[in-house]
Amino acid sequence: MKTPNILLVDDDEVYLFVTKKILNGLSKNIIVTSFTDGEQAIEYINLCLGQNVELPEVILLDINMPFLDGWGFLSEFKKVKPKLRGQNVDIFMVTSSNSDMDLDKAKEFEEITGYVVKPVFEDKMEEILTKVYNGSWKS
Amino acid sequence: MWIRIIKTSLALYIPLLIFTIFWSHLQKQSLIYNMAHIQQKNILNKSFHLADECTALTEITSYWSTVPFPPSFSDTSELEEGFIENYIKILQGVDEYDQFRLIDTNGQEILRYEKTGTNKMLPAQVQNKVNRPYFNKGLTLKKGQVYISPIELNQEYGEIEIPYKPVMRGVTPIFDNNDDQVGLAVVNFDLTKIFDLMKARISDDNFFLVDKDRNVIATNLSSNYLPHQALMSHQDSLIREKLLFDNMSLEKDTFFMKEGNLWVFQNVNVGFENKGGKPTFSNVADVVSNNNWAIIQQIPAAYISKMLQSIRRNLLLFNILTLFVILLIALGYARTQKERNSFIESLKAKKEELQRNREQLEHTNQLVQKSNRRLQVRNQQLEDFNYVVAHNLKSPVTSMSIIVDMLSKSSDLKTFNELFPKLKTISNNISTLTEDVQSYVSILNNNELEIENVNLLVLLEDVENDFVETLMDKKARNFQTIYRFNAWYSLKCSKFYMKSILQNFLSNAIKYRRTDVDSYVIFETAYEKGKKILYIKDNGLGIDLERHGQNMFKLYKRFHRNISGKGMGLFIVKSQLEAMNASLEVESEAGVGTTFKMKFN
Repeated sequence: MKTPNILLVDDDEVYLFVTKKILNGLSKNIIVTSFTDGEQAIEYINLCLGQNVELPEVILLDINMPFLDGWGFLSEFKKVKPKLRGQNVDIFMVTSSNSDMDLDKAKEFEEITGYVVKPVFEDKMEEILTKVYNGSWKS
Repeated sequence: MWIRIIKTSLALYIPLLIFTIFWSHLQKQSLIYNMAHIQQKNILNKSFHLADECTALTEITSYWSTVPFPPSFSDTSELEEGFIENYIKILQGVDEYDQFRLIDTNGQEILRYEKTGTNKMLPAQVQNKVNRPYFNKGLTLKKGQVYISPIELNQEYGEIEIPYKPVMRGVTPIFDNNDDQVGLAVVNFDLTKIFDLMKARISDDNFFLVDKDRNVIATNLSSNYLPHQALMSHQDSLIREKLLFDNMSLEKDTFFMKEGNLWVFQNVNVGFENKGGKPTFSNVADVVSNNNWAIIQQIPAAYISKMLQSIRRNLLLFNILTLFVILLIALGYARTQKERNSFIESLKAKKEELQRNREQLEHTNQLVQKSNRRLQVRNQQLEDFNYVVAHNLKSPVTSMSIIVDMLSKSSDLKTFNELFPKLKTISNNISTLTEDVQSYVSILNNNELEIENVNLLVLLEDVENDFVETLMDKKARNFQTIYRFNAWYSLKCSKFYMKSILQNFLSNAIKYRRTDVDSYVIFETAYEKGKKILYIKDNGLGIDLERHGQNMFKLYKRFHRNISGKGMGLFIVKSQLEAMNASLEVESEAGVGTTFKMKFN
C-alpha cells in the first residue's frame, strides 16, 4: 500500500481545484501538489532532487501554459532525468488539445506514459491511477 | 519605296553610263581614225595627179635638152617649121599642155606656141622674159637638167593673166651641135583641170593644196588659185588664217582634231624629191625642183557630228532601254525588299507581343506568388486561431463540464457552494477570451486597411508622449529612447496598427528593462534588398529563445513571472504586421537584450 504522490501542472486554476477534488474523492490518502506553469514545476522537481525528497510518481502535465509550457517542461525534465536514480515518474499529458500536431509531438517524448484529452472525469482519473499503481493505490 | 528604287537604279545604271561614255568615246576615236585613214588615201590619190603632171612635164621638157639646135639659133628668128611642127602635133593632145617656148640666153623668146580656145597649139607673139625667175633659174642649169617651177599664176607681158591660170613650168637648157648653150626650152602646164579633179569631194571634205609656206595654191572652198599672188578675198584670208593652225608646225604626215574638225595633213610626193637616195626620175632627167607641196583635207565638225549622231542615237536608245529594264529590276527588288521588311516587321511585332505576354505572365506569376505568400500567412493565422480556440476556449469548457457533472452527482450544499464560484471564474475567463479572440479576429478580417503615408518619427514621438508618465517614474528615469531614422522615416501603412505596434514595443522595452543598467531602446531604419527594415533594439532582460522561441509570438504566453502581462502584446503585433504584409523576426539573449526586425514588403 503506497500513498500516491501526484503532481498537477496546469495554468487553469479551476481545473486544478476540480482535479484535486476528484483525487481527494477517490482516496483520502493521496498527496497532490500543483503548479500553474512548467517553470515552477521543474523548479520543484529540482528542489526535490536536491533535497532527496521523493518525487511524485505521476505528473499530469498540461501543454499550453505561460512561462514554460508542457513541451518546455519535458525538455527540462529530460536534462534532470539522469538524477532520478531509477525512480519511475509517469507523465501524462492532460490537455484540451486533440490536435494531430500535439499528438505527434507527444510521441517524440519517451518520457510520456499517456495522452489524455480533457475533460478528465472521475472514472478516467481512476483509470490512470489504476494503471500507474497496478490497483494498489486505494486505501 | 521610291527612294529605294532610285538608289537601286542608280547603283545599276552608273556603271553602265560610264561604260556607255567610254564606249562612245572609243566609237568616236574609231570613226575619226577611219575618216583620217580614208582621207589619207584620198590625199594620196590627189597627189598622184600632181605627180603625174610633174612626170609628164619633166619628160616633155627633157626632150629638148637632147635636140641639137643650129648654132645660129639665137640670131635667126626663123626656125624651120618642121623642126617644131611634129613635136607640137604630138603634144597638143595633152590636155595640160599650155605653152611651149624657146628663149635665147638674153631672155628673148625666139619661138612661142600657145594653146588656143580650140585646143590647138598655135604660134604666138614672142615676149621678153629676162626678168622672170624661171628664166634666170634656167640659165643656171647644166645640160640634161630639168627645172620644175613652183605653181604660179600665169603672167603675160609682166602682168598676171586674167582669168587666173595656175601654171607649172618645165625649163631645160638647149644646145647647138657644138654643145654651146643657145637658150632655154620652156613648157607651161595649165593645172586648172588637174585642180578641178583634185577639188572633187568624196564626202563633205574640204581640200587644200598648199606650198611649204602654207600658202593656198588651190582649194575647193574658193574659186581663186594662188590668192596670195593676186588678190586675197576676205574668204581667202580666213582660209589662210585657218590653215596656219595657230602657227603649228607641220612637217610630217599627220591628222588631228581641232575645234571639232578633223584635219589630215600629208606631203605630196611627186617622185623626184631628193631624199638621200637616187632620184626616182634619174632615168628620165636630172630634175631640179624646190617644190614642197602638201595637201590638207578637212572634215568639218558638222559632218563628224552627223556621222556620230547615229552612234549617239543608238547609244541613247540602248541607254533608255537598259534604264527601263533597270527600273523594272529595281522595282522588283524594292518590292521584294518591302515584303521582306514587312515580314521582318511582323516578326518583330510578334516577338514584342510574345515579350509582352511573357512580361504579363511574369507579372501574373509575381501576383500569384504574392497572393500565395499571403495565403500561407493566412493559413498560419488560421492555424494559430484554431489553436487558440482549441486550447484556450476548450480548456474552460472542459472544466465547466466536469463541474457541471460533479454538481449533478452531488446534492449537498457544501459542494455546490464550493463549485459554483468556479463556474463564475470560468465564465469570466471565457468572456475575456472571447474579447481577446474578437480583437484578434478583427485584425484577421480587416481586409480594407486604411493605408497612408505615416511619418514614423512623428508617430513615435506621439507614442512616446503616451508613456511620459511611465518614463517620468523614478525607476524609469534611466530609460532612453533613441531614433536612428537615417535610411527612411516615412512608410505606407496603417497608422492605427503602426501606432499600436510601436506602443507595444515601447511598452515592452520599458516593462522588460533591466533595472540595474541604463536602459535604452533604439528605433532604427534600414534597407535590405530594397525593402524597408525597422529594427527595435533594447538592452532589456532578453529571453532564452532556445526555450521560448516557438512561443514568442503566441497568445497568452508570458516569459517573465514577476512582470504583469496578459501574454497578448506580441501576438497582436505579429498579426497586425502580417495584416500589413510585413514580417517579424526576433533575436534575443537572456540578460543582454532583444532585437526585433520588421520587414515591410
